[in-house]
Amino acid sequence: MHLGLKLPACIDLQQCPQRTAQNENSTSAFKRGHILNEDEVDALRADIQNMTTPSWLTSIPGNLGQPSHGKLKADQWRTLGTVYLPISLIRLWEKVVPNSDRSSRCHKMLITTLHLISAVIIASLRSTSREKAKLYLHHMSEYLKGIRELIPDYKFRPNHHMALHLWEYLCLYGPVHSWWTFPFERLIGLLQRLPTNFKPGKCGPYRALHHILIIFIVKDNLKKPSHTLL
Amino acid sequence: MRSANLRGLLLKAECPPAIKNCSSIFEKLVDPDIRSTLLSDITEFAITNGDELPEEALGGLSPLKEPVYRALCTFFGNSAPRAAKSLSYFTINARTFSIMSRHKGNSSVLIRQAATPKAESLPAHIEEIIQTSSKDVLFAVRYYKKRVASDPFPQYPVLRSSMWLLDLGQLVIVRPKDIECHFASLAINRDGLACVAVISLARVRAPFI
Repeated sequence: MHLGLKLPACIDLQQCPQRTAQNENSTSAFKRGHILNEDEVDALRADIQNMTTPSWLTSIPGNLGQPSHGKLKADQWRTLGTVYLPISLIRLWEKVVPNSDRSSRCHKMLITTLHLISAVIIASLRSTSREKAKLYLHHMSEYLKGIRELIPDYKFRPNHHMALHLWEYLCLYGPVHSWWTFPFERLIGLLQRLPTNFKPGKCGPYRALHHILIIFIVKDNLKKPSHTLL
Repeated sequence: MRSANLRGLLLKAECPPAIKNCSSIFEKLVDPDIRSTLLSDITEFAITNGDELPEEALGGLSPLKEPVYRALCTFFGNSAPRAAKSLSYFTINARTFSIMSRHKGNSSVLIRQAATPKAESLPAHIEEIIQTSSKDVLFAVRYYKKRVASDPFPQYPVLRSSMWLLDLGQLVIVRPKDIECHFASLAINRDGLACVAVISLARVRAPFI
């Protein structure tokens, strides 16, 4: 189906830009995984602990970045990116210190990160439209361009390419909530957590419960209101 | 205790009645459908029976505090009631809105200034929730008074954030339908001023487009 939009031609994820002196400097300053310094990490953690949030909002570990809190779940990443990071990063990186190379690069990184956050906010809204899909594509394209410029050595993943196609699905299928696979992820988690007798195929006390739960979930899903493209 | 064990305990016939009676309390912890990720999404999609009133709504009327009465006079004119039921929270579409003394985060609300989709929403804190004798529920809120002049957020409209001075204004009465959503906030110091950065948690309305 032709949707009247094309992927931006300037985004070539496979091709790395030519190395220049400026890019070399960028690489040395922003190696993958070493963008925030210790003070900034401490400030981010303090902001996470001090932020006032409603009780329903997914909580983020106050010791973010420590191995002790385990992997963040998808909703925690989204909440971190769309609620906590914008305020903290704008506070930390908004002002450019004159004659500071790092400050200038941090500001560029801020702009790039905010493009990604904007794309995530638009993509995960519960309403969508062709204009929002276009805006999503604009922010995602700018984010990828920014990353390519700031971290030339960064190897893009297939997910980066797929993210550039998401706008088509927003136009075709409506808001992501009605077709993303998180309900199935939840179901997998539910099944994994069910206690079993470790005897595949043999009826255990929880087998009946297992089936009941599946029926219950399917029924519950059928009750959900459908979402339409606005 | 792992949630599966707790869930298993509740299902066992020999589970003590005291634990079984508390099953509704454990529900949030043990029900995988509403636990952990996307908790808010599930509550949003859940079938709800409209707005929910807390148990205290069943009690009698009590005299209103003077600032609330004055705010009601401004809202209703001369027909403002002198007494009403005072509620500590009120649930709208599976979202709980509380008074500030009960839960500051749940009292942080963005209030629509007009019914149009692109209308501005202003941040406020719920100070009182009252139910009048005619069963109307009203929120007494205090808006943040003034936006910071050097607010860095307007250049990023998609973030739906803004920065305000910490001072709160006078009590104003609003109806539940005027409340758009909660907001998250962080008190910060900017140019020597005590400010609060506010970020909208609305997941439907997008006034930026």
